Amino acid sequence: MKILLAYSERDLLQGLTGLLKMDGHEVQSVFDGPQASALLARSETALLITEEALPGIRLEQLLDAAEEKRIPSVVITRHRVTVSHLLQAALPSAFLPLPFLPEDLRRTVADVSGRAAEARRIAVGPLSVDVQSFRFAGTSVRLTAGEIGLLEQLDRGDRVGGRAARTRIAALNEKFRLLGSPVRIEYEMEKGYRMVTGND
Amino acid sequence: MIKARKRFVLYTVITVFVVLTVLLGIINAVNFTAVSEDADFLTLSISEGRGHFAQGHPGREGRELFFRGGPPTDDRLMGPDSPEMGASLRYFTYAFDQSGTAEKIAFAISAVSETEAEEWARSLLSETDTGWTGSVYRYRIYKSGGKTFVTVIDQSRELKGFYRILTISCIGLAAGLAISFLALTLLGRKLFVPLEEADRKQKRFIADAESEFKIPLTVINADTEMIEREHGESEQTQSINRQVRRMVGLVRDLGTAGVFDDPQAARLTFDLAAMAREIGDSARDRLEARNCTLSIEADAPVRITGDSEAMGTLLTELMDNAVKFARTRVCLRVDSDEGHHRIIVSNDTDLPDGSVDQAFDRFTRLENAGDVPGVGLGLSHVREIVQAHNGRASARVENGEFTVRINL
Repeated sequence: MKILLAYSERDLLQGLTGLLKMDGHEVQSVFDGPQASALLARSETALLITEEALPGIRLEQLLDAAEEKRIPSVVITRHRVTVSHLLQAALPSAFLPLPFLPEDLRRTVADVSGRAAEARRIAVGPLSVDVQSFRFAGTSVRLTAGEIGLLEQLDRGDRVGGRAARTRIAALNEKFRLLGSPVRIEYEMEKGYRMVTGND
Repeated sequence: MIKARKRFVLYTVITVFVVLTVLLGIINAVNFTAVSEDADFLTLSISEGRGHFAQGHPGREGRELFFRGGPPTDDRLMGPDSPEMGASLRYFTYAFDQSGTAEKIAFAISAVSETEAEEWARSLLSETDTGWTGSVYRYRIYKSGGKTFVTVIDQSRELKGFYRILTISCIGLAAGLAISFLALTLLGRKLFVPLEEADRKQKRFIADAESEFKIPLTVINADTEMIEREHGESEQTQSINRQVRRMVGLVRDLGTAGVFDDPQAARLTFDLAAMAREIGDSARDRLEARNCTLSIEADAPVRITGDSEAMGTLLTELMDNAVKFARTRVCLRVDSDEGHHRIIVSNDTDLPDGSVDQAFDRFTRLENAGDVPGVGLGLSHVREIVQAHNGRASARVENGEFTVRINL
């Protein structure tokens, strides 16, 4: 897979480039926004991995450019991913918080690229999720791969929990509310989280 | 730290107010008592004179003192003993026989007529022996020769002095409060600036340390993996991986400190009790593995508006702390009472009874921490979250139970 990797810190850029190449990917590495933007426009990139504050460009600009070309994106962030991150309009397909292990990078790349290749929808009450475009179908509200994964787990009846799951659930419930959907994700003792609709 | 400064100013001003009020109150009370005693001395003198004021004769020594000139050095010349008192005292005395017939004994007053004075004296017959009447008059009731005498003296001049001092006291109190408030507000900034700076530096250090370690750790990880893939695993690369993973965990712990200072954190309405049930439930396996029990009382919904992220971290930190140090049991309770929300987490412990609020200080571990992993940040995160939600946190050990109470 052709990956565009944009990071301003040389050592990290080299390290990640090496890892991704060893995993069999074709990697184009750039240090700043203008270079990233130019390559995004010109070449056939399958995945964009970028830092949150890439010099020379606003993140929203870069993500919108990727979105226009239907290129999934991963944003490497120095911060913990919070509900605020998941509610921003220009949402990447995934966040990768620093510090991360090589397996975290690998898992995220596989997850995002795998979903981007799936022409599939998931029903969520009256709404449906267009997995390939990482958004609620027919809306501009985006989702991350993590949120989509959580919806799939709930659909299967899997038990979910932990800080990351709670963050995603809080963000999803807010997105349901914004879309006027009666669906909510609630917790039941000994049953765990489940999706409920309206007056359940 | 700004809240600490405001509390310092508030408590100090309250202390100043209490001290000044007590002091000025005592001074004015003593002053008023002295005025009353002087008035009683005069009415007593009149009663000894059967309703008439007997002028004092200070004698040769007294006259010498009086005519010496300069500031008076003898109190007798200034107070009720003064030889001039008889000329300046305004008073009246009426005597009543058993049938209630009034007899005018002395009348040296201009403020009331004889009829009004008689009625006034009659109205005092049912009162106590001595007291204040008509706001500036002192009276005395006494018996002599089968009759009841009522003497009323005018103390308006003496009371004028008292009220003057009282007014000055009140103005002084208000001025003192205002000046101390201003001084504390200005000085408080200077006093607290070093403390606030130290607190900021500590937070910045934690944030910087956490931030600056992230990239190097990721680079070391990535490069170590590449070395292993090119040249195979070795003891050294495995050791590097272990230590790096350990540091990654520590940095992630430090990283929670930044969450609560985010002014742009999303404020959502959510059910705190449901969140507590989930987080509490998730700790059950860990507790059961140590043969510990868990009880959760969080059935009724507790809806709050706030940073759900931070509240989740709060509950997780509380439960993690309880699970780490519990001997046999952990209890989690979340409820509401008249708009106030409570979170109570307790575990059995061998710590001695008493307040353990120091557990909320950064990098502080209590005496039972021993080899239990951690750096002493968990409960400090809890306090920061609680303060960000205008709540209160306390920790106490009582009868072998370590309890953290959060009020929101």
